Amino acid sequence: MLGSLLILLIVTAAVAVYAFRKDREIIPRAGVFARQETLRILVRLPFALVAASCIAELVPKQAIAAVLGAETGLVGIMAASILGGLMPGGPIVSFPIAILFAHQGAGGPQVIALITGWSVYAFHRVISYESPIMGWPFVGLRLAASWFVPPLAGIFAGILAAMFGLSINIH
Amino acid sequence: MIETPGSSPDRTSDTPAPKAVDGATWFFVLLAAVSMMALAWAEGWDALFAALSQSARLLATVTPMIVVGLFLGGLVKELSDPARIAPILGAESGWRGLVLATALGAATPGGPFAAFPIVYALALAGADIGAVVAYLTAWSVLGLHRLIIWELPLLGTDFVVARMLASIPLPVLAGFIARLLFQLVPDLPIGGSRRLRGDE
Repeated sequence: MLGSLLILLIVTAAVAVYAFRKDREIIPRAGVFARQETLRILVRLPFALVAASCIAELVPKQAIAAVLGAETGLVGIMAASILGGLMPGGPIVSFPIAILFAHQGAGGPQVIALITGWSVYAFHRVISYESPIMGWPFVGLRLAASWFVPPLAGIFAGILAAMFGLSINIH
Repeated sequence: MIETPGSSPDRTSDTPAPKAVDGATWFFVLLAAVSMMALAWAEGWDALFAALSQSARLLATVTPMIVVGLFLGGLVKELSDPARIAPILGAESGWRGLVLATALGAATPGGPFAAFPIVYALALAGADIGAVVAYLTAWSVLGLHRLIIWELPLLGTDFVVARMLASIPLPVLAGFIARLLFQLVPDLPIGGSRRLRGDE
């Protein structure tokens, strides 16, 4: 986490220097924007994070591994997409879980749908960051426009693997 | 495009400051209360205290990133000239805009603390809903940093190649569908009091 803060600080500092050279007025205006938005978001964020942490604890992780076998086909891909969306936390938590499932017998297309569902639906991220910043109407439209991405990624990957002889089943 | 007049030199002060406490805040208060009760009921007080201390730690680490991320977002917004953003990422930018947004999203490193303020700023500066959805989908699905850190070493090259090839067209498609859906809801509130609009 400290590493990502450092990267963010470096990028922001570089952009700030560029902006300062272009027009000195930009820095205070960006400051006003940041202050207004920070105030709005920081009021919601503690409640959003508490809700996300509690919901993450309630998701049954063992039950997930059972329904993702390679033989589950389309149903497994659909289930994996939704379960992926429910997986809690960032990549440090979720990737090891996905990899564990892969080694425990989940099929390649199912694992791809799982990872992509975690990336696109990301209910955890929706609750803790996206809806506080962008608002629910935007979240609704984004999900309506991209709900098909995780299952399609799983199906396409299965087809590509069969066409080109890629081995995507890990175990 | 955005409700705020783009011709004004100061695009921050001519919109009313968003209210700090509104309906959405109460939604999160309610959601937190319900999920706390559900967790205490299902797994006991210890699990609830563990979850609460985890969220306190998360809040402490995430708050500085959000403050810095929003300052970066403010800089991006001030540096982005709507007259230049709109043709390349706006509603009229066509497939090229969606492909560009997809490439930008895939190249954006880091977590949601950076990506959401940037995309919020781009939306305020004239990027349309299709570009925003394509950007966010690409950032989450095609993110190159995650691929290098996690997928290549742990899942292997074949897996990564199949997943990436299968996923590359999908953010563009999601952005295209977002534009179609946007025709049905021509006035979409985004963030605080500001709104995305269809063609002007």
